[in-house]
Amino acid sequence: MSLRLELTAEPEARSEPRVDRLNSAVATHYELVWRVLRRLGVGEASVEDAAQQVLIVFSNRLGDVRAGAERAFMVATAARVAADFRKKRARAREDLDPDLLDAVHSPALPADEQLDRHRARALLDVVLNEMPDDLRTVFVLFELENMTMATIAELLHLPPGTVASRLRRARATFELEATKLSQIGNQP
Amino acid sequence: MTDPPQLKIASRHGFSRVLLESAQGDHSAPGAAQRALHALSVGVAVTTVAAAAKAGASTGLSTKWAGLLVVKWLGLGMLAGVTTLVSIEYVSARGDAPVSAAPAARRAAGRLATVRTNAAPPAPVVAPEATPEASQLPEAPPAHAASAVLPSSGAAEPAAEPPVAPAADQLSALRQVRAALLAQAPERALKLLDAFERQHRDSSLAEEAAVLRIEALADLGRDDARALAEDFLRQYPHSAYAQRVRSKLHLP
Repeated sequence: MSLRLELTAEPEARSEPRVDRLNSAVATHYELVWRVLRRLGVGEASVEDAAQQVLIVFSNRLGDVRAGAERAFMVATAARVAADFRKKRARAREDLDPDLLDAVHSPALPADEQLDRHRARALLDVVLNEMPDDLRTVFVLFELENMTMATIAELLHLPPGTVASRLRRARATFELEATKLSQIGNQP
Repeated sequence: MTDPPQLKIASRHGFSRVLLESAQGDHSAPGAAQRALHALSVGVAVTTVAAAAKAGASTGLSTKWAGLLVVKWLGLGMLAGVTTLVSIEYVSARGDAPVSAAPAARRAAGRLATVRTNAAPPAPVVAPEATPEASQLPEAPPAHAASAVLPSSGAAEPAAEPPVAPAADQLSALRQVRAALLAQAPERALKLLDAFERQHRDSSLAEEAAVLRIEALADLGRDDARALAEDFLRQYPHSAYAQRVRSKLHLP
């Protein structure tokens, strides 16, 4: 006998459609939720906890989420959870790559071809951390999640012009900060 | 609305492309979704059990499971705590092959141990801050208005935090410190670190700065290097630099 059946006292909670929907949503969207959280600034060590929070919120609100809107709900919740994590974090220690210090000090860095992915990923966090939350969310969904602006607008319930504007500003910020980092590495 | 080409393709800066491409390896740990689903499904069940218990219904629960409702004592009143707490119990009771619980679940297990050790009164117990409580959980987005929960520049944003120097500036400053150390000029490194810490009080690179300070003090042969290193290891027991610090000071 499964634990679920042992413990569930009310038919509503063991409703098969509900369980199926939860299972399906987690199977389909967990990886997206995880990535969005990670890319919105939740550190590697905390991202699984954060994902669990998203799922708990989703589970609690399952009855209110219309069919087909699961992804939008979970991405929106993930954005909020990520913002919450960042606010609570006194310092961004867990987001920094352990080798970052050495990477920055290496005289050869950051020559593009010599940056290994691990170090580049840590530096990406450094650059993304320079962005305001609203810009970062749009930037991550467009540049890293490969969503179209129309999808983002729909997902976040934002006017298309707002998405375009945020993306434009986010890209400018990103290029500026990335250029600064690359110039550090190229200093003699 | 015409989408611009993505920067990882179109950026004129190779470095930008490298940074963006580095995110392609982002993925969760194997089994993470299964663990999450497991905790979630148990949580759904326990929520119901808690409701039944509150109503005085006899559900035939074993004492053991009923005991899990000590979470009510904790004043958690939230699914997160219940879910993770019971998830640990479930794994333990069934004697299944090890199912590694999520970090939140592991912390919940520690909390459970505390409750059992102090089996006393059902007074409110403050849960560790590391595990968010219901009141701390972000509000769920309206089911039909996801945008309402998104961070934005609207009124929901927290008060503006003090401006933080760009990461590039901080990195540049620490690079100078490192250069001083490499040039065997630890006194200069210390001065640079003093300046860094004055300018960047809440720097996200404070840990790196601390490591460099320890190295500078050690290079000067100062006695306080060891004490600082020990403080560092206490403060950052899992630091990626821990071994580096131990090695520098010949600490165990």
